[in-house]
Amino acid sequence: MSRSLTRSRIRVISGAMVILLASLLVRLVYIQIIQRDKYKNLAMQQRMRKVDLPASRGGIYDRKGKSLAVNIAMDSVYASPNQMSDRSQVASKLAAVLDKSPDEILQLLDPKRGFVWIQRKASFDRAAAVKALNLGTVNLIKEYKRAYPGQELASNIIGFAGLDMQGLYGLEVHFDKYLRGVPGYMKVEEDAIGRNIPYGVRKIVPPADGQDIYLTIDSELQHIAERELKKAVKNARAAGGCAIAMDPWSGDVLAMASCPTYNPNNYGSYDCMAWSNRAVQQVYEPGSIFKLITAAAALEEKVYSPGDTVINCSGTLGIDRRTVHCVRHGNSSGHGSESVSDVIVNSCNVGAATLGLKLGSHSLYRYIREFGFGQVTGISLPGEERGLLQSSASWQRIKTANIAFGQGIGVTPIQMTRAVCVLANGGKLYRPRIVRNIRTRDGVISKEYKVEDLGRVISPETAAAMRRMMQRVVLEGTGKAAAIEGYSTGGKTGTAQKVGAYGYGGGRYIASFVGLAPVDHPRLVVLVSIDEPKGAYYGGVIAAPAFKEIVRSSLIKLGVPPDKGDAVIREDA
Amino acid sequence: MALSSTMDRKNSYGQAKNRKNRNKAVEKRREGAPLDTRAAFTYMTILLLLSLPAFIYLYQNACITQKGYQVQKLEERLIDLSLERERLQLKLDELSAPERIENMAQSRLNMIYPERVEFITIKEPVAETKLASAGRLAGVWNGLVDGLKSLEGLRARLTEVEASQP
Repeated sequence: MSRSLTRSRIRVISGAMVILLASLLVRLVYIQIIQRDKYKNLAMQQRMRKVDLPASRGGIYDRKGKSLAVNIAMDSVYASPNQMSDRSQVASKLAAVLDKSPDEILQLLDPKRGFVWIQRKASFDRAAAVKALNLGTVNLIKEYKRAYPGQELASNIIGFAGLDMQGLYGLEVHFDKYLRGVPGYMKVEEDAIGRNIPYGVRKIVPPADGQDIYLTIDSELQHIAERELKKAVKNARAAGGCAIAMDPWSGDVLAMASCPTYNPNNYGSYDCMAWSNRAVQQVYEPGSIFKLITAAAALEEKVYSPGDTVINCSGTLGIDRRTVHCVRHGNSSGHGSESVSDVIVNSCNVGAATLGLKLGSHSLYRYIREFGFGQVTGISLPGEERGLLQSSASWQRIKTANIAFGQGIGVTPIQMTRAVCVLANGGKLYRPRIVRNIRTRDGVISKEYKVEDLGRVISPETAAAMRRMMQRVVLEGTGKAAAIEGYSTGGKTGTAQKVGAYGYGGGRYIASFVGLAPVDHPRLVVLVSIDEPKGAYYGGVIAAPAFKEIVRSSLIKLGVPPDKGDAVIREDA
Repeated sequence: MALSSTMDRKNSYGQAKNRKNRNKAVEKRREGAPLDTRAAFTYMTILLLLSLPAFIYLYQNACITQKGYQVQKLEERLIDLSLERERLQLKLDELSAPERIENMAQSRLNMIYPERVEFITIKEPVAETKLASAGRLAGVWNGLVDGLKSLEGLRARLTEVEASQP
């Protein structure tokens, strides 16, 4: 080979090498400098992992801070079927530790899918058993579950949250936007085996945890109300019932019980009727307890004084070819001569109708509205009913008479309790309050629900006169079963017929009792209503004993000293 | 032209000489000529000194990374413990539910609701405290008066003694 040929070959190869290196250099410059950001981002994405940081749902607490609804972290089991070699083996292994059959699990393991839930929020034992299997393609992930430590306690108020921690019923749905919070995320740099690289790139958008809700409910009083209501409903073989205990000086709901009730930890296994809160969702004709409103309006308008004779009750009263019957019609000659106080004590329909007619439809309607009927109370509970109240313009005389003793009008238990609070506190109407405040996780109050005084309805004198009448009902009238040893008590019984498809009748009643104690300075107003009792159905027989037990136990819990002579009091040694 | 050919010859001669010298040195080394150990030691020392900071830096980095993983593990443990605390708190709340306590009291301890409630009036502790403090004050006052009296007696006695002295 000649020397010149060798040289020319070297030159060609060198030239090719230079061109190759130059093109590589150009490419390098293009990638490293011009396209720098793009490739940097791609590389980062390969190393970065986004981790969702779920916001913790806020808790629900009673007025003393006792937890009623909290969160609990649980393990959920998930699988990656597209990475499995033997799905049936995995299914049988999982079935041995989970509460599912192998076929059920095999059906979930769709080979085309990269992620499937096997069991969400499994119990601690089961999660540990799955972890011990060490299957590789089956793993655990932490998820929060809503838990209600009190079980059935206040469940009709609180409601429940779903599997994804979204509010579904009760306060859980009403305050969902406060409770839910805002989820965050974290981006972390990972090494080859998926561990976070310490001091690597880390971007955190922290979650904003949900806020806590503090109620006006007192857990102990709530338990007492639920216990006594359940007992009363059981004894009366009734379809249901409700009980409310309210502080008349603020409108704070201290207890609100419904029956039937349910355990929100397992809400799916109950009939949905058990979820409802009868205190705000049940509209019923109040019956005789409504006579308190008529009498208060008549006294306030000075149509009568408490001692004035209203009527000589003969058992019936004819109004425009219709007849109003008193409870005593047919058995005797009626109640005879009655004052306003006697009308309440005897629970006389004829007397109440006379009061209503004397007062006049417009005046009666105005007072009914001022006592808060025919409109929502504005309590922070979902699904509150406004009741049924027609305008007085359409009232016939018989309608006025009927409404005066609690027929032809629909009220909710919360409306009725609030109206009696007006008599208890000297004449002021308050908005019922069930939520005291909403607090951030640091305990800072973000929203305060203040006591709302909605104005004066009746004078303190009228209210005091009404309380005396209510006391007489317990001492000598239809409410003797509500008398409490050591405490002066006032109240009113009510027995309302339920309206069916063919009007009144069918033997279906709502027995109720609403009262207050102590009479001079009431600390509690309590309403008990029992829906469709079997056998005895009078409010004084069915509801008054439950009222007595609720008030007696609650006053002792609240530390209210006895104000009546029959209390057993001894001096501390 | 003649000049350039002379220079070419000189250059080729010089290159041949250099090649010869290099070959000689290689041959000498092959023959087992002793290395300059001092120079080698110096080189090695310089190399070590230069690489030492790099080693220290790498070691530190490794330590930091290891500690970082430990911190991560501890953080995970902290989360697990706080979750365990939440679980235990829930258990506590469930166990202290009023209905459960009532049922246990009735079924296990045979407790019943009282037929008759007795109210006990307790002497107000505030009044007692006031009395006690008033008593203490009175005691202090009496002590002060007694002290003054004894002081006066002492002074009188002193006067008497002074007077009796000549």
